[in-house]
Amino acid sequence: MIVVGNLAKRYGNFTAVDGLSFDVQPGEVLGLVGPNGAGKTTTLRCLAGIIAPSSGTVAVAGHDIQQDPVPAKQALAFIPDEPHLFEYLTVQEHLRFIARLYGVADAESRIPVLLDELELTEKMKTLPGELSRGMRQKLAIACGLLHDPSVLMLDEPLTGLDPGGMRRMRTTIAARAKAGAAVVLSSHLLDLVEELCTKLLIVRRGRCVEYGALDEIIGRRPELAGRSLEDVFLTLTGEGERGPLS
Amino acid sequence: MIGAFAYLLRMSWRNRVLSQIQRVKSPRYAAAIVIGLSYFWFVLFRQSMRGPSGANIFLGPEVEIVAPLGLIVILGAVWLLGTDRSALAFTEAEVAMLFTAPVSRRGLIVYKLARSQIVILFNALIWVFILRRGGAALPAPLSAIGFWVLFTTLSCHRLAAALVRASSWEHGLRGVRRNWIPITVSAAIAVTIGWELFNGRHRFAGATYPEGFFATFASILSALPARIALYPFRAMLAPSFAHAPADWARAMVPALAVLAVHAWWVLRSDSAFEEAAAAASVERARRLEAFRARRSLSAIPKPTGGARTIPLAATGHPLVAIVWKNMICLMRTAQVGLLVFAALVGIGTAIALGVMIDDIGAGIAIVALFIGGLMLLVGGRSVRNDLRSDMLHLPFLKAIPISGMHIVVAEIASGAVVMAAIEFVLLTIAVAGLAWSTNEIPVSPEARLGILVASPVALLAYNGVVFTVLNGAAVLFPAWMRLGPSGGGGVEAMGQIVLATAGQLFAQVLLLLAPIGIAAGTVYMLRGNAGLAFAVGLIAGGLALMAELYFAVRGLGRAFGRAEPQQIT
Repeated sequence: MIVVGNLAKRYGNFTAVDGLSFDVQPGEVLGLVGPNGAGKTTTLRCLAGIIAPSSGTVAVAGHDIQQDPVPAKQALAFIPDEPHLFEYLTVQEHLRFIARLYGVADAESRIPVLLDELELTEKMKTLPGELSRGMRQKLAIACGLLHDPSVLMLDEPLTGLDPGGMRRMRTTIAARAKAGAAVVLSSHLLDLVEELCTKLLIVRRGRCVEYGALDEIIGRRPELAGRSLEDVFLTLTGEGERGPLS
Repeated sequence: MIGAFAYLLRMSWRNRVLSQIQRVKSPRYAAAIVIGLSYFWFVLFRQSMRGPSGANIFLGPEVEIVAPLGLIVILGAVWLLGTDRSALAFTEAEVAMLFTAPVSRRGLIVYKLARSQIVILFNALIWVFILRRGGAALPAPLSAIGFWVLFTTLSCHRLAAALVRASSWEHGLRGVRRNWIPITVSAAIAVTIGWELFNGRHRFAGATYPEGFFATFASILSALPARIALYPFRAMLAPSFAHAPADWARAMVPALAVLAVHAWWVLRSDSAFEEAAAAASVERARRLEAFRARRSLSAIPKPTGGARTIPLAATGHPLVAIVWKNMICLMRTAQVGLLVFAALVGIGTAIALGVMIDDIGAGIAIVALFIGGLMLLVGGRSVRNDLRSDMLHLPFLKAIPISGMHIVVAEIASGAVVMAAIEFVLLTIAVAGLAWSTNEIPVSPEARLGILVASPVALLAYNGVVFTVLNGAAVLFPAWMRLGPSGGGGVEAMGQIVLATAGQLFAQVLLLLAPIGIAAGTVYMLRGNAGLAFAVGLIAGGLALMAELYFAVRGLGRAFGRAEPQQIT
């Protein structure tokens, strides 16, 4: 469903993403993890067609995101860590807008269900400026899920959500994957990654440090056997060697 | 604290300049800089170095008469409508770091004034070059100081007026009472000028245009009490319009006095607020919370709620969704008060002009054509429901399943259709006014009808060009554009606005050359029937323009496809 080959993104002399190759099949959840500045968001933006890679290929639902962007984007949803909302559209209007963009014929019946699931029904005539951070994030999630995407890309999706919202979001991601969606999840919440992801792509300074299911990674690194994902992550990225903040 | 503010301003501007220099590595920006610098050198700087070379339209006696009135209208709009939202706005980073730091409200105001100084200095220099181009005798440094005083005074006035409005909004009648001096003085000036012009309206009858008209104006405004009411405005402008260093030196004393009064007023407004706030600490905490939430020192109007909307079907071409979104944007962010104010001024002027020239129909037509002409020239800059706002949402737009070209088409259409509709209404009013006129009109009724019938095509095509140029600038040079629904900047940024408008008009003229030739040729060939000639000519020109636009929009669509979010910052 997502096939990435030798993906690289350079800004002048700086290489943000350096030769990443991976794939995510229907029903799989790929955890994209790495320290700050590792190139996770740049990778996600390349996958979503927001920025063009300097080299390499990205295919989404069988379409090259650069050569054939419209059908590729039709199949995917990108939910960023910072919700991009239009300050002058209400909650309901955002969903109607998305429905038209993606041609969701049954939008009238789907919108109330989504609003109810995300506890936005009472806020449907509210402008984003009057919503809390968490509510704004819920609206961005609703916009992403409305057209029932077969490829889901999530960048820190739990940011700003309350505990109830976090639990529902975990369930939703799992349910979407079970229904056959290919999911890429970038998050620093390693318990979330451990719970949902079927495989991991650990990146550092734009390069792949490890890729595969957690068991496969530990199989290649016997010294990590029996340790938590946090320990595995810190060891592989070298972040565990740093001292506490002053 | 002053040291921290100075450091923040210095480093912000240093880094901003460095990042702009970095952009020259991009061939597109490098080419634009070369063209811009050539323009500065050949059109502004080189000519200004030659010294006086004839009459300057900016320094003529008519401008000296009209300029104070222009200032009154601009500042009147700030007072009545509070349209200048940028006057009290702070950035997200300033809110996060300064509002939570132990900085008084007065400290924030001083910082705000200091921050505007760089824009003011830059614009003062632009005006020096613009005015010297026609040949001003005043040395450039003196002229620059004159403009710096003028724009700093205006900046203080905007800030103080916004503080008075904020105080009145937050404290109601108490706020009005606390600011009774500036409110009374401003009202007295407006009433005096309005009354004197109204009383002297009969003196315009029979006055020749423009000499007699301006002479009558000057005579009315030079008599007491209008002279006293206009004194502060003339004092502000005098150094900028001085013809010799001696005149400038004489004019600077009252100009600096007006500036000092404004500075005192700004700080006094703040002191009044702080005193009231200290008296009600609980209320102050609540207000401060609201004030921080609004990220502003004043009550910035938010977009109005979603009670009224426009229906949108869930299926159909997705391009329509972008236009729909932008129409909702216009509906919710348009300043209705400003539109009503402009309409009332237009109607009032039309009637007054009609009474003066004893022909109401002609008065209406002249005013409608004048406003329409103004819209054709600068209307595109006032309606920003397109990529000038939406480039801030670039990650979203790049992720949706619509091609770059379709997005660009939708964004251009969002502004062009609205502006073409307004101009068509104005043209219809003008044609109706001319039909009602009792005087002989040089354009035949058939020709007028032909122009009116063909105008929808021509106006749509023309506005397509206007909005293509403006959206093109946002796509090609996002780092140089002021992105967002409000152009902002205030009157002190007028120099930049004039230069940007000149660049826009230059690009428009290039696109219009061939279609105008086709339209003129068609009119000439069909000159036997004026109505048909104008109708066919305008439609032919409009279609030629649309053909040009097709290629321009395709190119912009490709550029949009290559645009990346980090290019905006």
